Amino acid sequence: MFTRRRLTLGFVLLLTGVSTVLPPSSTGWAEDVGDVLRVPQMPFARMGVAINAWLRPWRDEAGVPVDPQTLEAVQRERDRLERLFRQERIRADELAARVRLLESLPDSALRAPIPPTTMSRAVTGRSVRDATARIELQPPELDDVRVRSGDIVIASDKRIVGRLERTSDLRLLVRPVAHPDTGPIEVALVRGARNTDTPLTRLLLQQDGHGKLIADVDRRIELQIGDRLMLTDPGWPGRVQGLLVAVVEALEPIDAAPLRQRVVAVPAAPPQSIVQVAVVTAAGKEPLE
Amino acid sequence: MRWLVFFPVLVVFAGLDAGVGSLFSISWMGGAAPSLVAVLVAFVALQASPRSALWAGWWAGLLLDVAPGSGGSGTAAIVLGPHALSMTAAAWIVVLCRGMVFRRRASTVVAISGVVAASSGLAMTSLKTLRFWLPWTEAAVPQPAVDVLLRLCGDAVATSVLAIVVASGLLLTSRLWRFDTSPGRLDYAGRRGG
Repeated sequence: MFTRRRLTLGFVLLLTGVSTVLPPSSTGWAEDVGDVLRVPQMPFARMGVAINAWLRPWRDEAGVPVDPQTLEAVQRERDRLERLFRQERIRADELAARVRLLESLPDSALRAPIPPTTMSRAVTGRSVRDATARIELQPPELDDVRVRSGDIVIASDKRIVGRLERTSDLRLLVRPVAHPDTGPIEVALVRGARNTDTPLTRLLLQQDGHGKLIADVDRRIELQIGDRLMLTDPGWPGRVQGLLVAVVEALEPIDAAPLRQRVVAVPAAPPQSIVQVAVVTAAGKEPLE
Repeated sequence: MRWLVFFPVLVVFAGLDAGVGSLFSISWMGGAAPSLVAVLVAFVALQASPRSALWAGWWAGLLLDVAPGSGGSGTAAIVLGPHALSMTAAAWIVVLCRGMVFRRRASTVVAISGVVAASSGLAMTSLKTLRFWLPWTEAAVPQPAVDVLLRLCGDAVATSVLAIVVASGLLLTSRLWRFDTSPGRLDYAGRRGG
C-alpha cells in the first residue's frame, strides 16, 4: 500500500512535469481546471483587493487618487478589450487553418475560373463501425459562404472524405467515397516521383458496399500495397482533382480472369478517424434565401 | 494530517496572497512580496509526515499556478505545474532538514518560511528558464539573474517577517491539524516550551 501511494505521488509529479513543458496550444484543458480551482479563492482574493485598495488607493500617472467609478469603468473597458482580443485570436486561428488548407490544394484548383472557398466544419455525427455511413457536419452559420449539394468535403493532408449530399440549416450530410451511391471514381496511381514521359496509370474504383473500393486491372500493371490513388475523375469538380482518394490495401488474383488482378483500396480519410473537415465550395458568398 | 483543515486554510491563504500580496511588495527589490502560502507550506512540512508534506506542497503550488493574478488570469495561458513542482521541491527540502531544527518553535517556522520562499522561487526560476529554452513553449524571456536573486532574497525576508505573526497563529492551532509525526526532537522542543 505504501509503495502504491509513493508511486501515486511520483506519477502525479511526473504528470506535473510534463504539463510544465507542454506547448501553450495544448494546455486548453488547464484553463478549465484553473477556472474550477480558482472559484473558492475568488472571495478571499476580492477581499484582499478591497483591503489593498482601501489601504493603498489607486493613483493615476500624476499621483492623484482614482475614484472607484472611474476605476470600474476602466476595468469594464479592459474586460471588453480582452474578450475582443480572444475572439480575434480564435478567428485568426480559424483563418490560418483555412489558408493552410487552400495552400494544400493543387495549383489547378487555384487557377480555376471560380476559385474555391473553404469553410471548416466539425463532425457532429458518424458511425464508427460502418465506413459507408453518412457523416453529419455542423450546420453552416449565417455569415458563412453558401454550400451546395455536391461540394467536396476534404480532411487534412489533401484527403477526400466525400461529397455533400444534403444541406440544411440544421446539418450538412456527407456521402463518403465508400458509399455505393457515390458511384465509380476514376483515379490515377501515384508512387514516388513520376516520370512525366510515362502515361498515368488510371483505375476505375468501385464501392464494394463494405467500406472498401475495388478495381480490376491488368495484371501487368505494377502495383504495390500502400500506393496512393489520386482523383482524376472528370465528373468531379476541377478544383479537387489530384487530391488523395484511397490507398491500396491488398492485391488479389482473380480466378475467373488470370490476366487481371483485383485492387482493394481503403478510403484515404476513413470516416471513423476524422473530427474536423473542410468543405471546398465554389459557391461564393451569396445572400441567404 | 487533517486535510479538512489544510485545504480551507490553503484556499484562504492563496486568495489573500493574490489580493493583498501587492500591498506589501517591495518595488526596489524587483517586486518581492511575502507569501502566506510559503508560511503554510513551511509549517506543514515541518510537522506532517514526509508524504503529507510533499502532497501539501504540491496542492499549494497547484493553487498558486491557477491563482488570480499570478499568470493564470488575463490573456496569458495557464501553465499547470511550475509552482506545483517548486513548492513540492521546497517542501522536500524542509523535510530533509527538519531533523536538525526544533520544529514547534515559532522562530523555526519563521526561518523555514524564508527557506521555502527562496527555494521555491529558485526552483520556479529554473523551470521558467527551462521553458524558455524549449522551443515549443513560447515562454517569456527570463529576468536577468541579478534581478531574480534580489527578488528571491526579498521574497525570503518579506515572508519571514510575515511569518512572525502567522507562524505563531498556526502553531496555536497545531492540535487541530493532527500531525502524525514521530517523537524525537519535536517532543524535546515541545517540552522546553517551544
